[in-house]
Amino acid sequence: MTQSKSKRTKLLVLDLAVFCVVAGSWLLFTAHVSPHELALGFGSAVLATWIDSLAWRRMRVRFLATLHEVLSVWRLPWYVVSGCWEMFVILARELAGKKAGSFFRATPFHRTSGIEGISQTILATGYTTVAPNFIVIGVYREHLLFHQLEKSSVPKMIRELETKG
Amino acid sequence: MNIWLAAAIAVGACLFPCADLCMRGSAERRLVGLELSSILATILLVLLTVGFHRLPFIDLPLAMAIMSLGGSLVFARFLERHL
Amino acid sequence: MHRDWIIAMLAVVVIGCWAGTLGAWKMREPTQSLHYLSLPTTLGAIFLAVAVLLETGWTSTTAKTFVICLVLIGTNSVGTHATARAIRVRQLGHWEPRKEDGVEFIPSKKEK
Repeated sequence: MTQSKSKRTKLLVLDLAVFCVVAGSWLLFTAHVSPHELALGFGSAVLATWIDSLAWRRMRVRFLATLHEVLSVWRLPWYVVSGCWEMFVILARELAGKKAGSFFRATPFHRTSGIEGISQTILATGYTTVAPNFIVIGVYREHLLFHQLEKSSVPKMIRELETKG
Repeated sequence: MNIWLAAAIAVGACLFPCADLCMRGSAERRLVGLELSSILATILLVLLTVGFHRLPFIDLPLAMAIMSLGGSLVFARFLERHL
Repeated sequence: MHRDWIIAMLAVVVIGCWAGTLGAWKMREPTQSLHYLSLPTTLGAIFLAVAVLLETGWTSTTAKTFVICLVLIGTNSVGTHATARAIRVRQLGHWEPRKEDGVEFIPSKKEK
């Protein structure tokens, strides 16, 4: 009973935070505080908060990543730069007549069960796919499947996001 | 004519190969063409907004960037299951 | 000087867009073409946002352009992942890695 009460409180706090972010974003982007714009903006914020709360409560949307996992994105700029260079080289070779490769590779990816594991998968997929020359297809039974045009080393981001041990 | 409009013309020209991607080949290839067109159209709209000095119109490419994801996901889902 | 930087940024945007388009058009397989969507998204969007910053300064237009850049990067990542998975399911009937599909299983450090 106490647990469900604390869970309800957490969800309410989340709803309030979402409303503040959405309403704040409206104010920032419109940069107007006329009555009709405020009415429309807060009405839209209420609608967005309601739909978001439905997603969290009914549709079982879950995301619970640690700050360390979210901040593992710091490696991404290097992978973007090196990936862009690889793409240019592969394109130049393709135009010169040497066909580009196509490699499906699976690397071990250990994740916890439950919401934390889902969050790890989301971040690993999202961050790795941003980098050129990496497209993550999915995570299946402790293996992360990705596609590359040219084989390269597995990004350290994936190692940082998986469960240690 | 300014440098922004010149860049817009150069980026706009990219839409011709995109049209070829969208019109010929397998369904998968056409979906890739659609996604690429969305990205290029967003960049083109930003260039045109600044080039024509109509800065309030920056909301158009912002809406385009957000909404194009929905279209891509719907087509990808259909491609996977129903087509 | 200031104008030269803007021209340089816009040149990178145009090069990124053209390289992405040519790459996507030239590749034989759709999954290969998907990789080239990242060039206009990363090079194009990031340098465009910087060019807008140099042109207009710290205005709401610049803020929105940076948001466009982030949205393009994020949505391209999600869209590419979904499309690549859809293509694999359509071609093979499943997306999971299996040895018979020619997937290379990278050994873990323990196995090495």
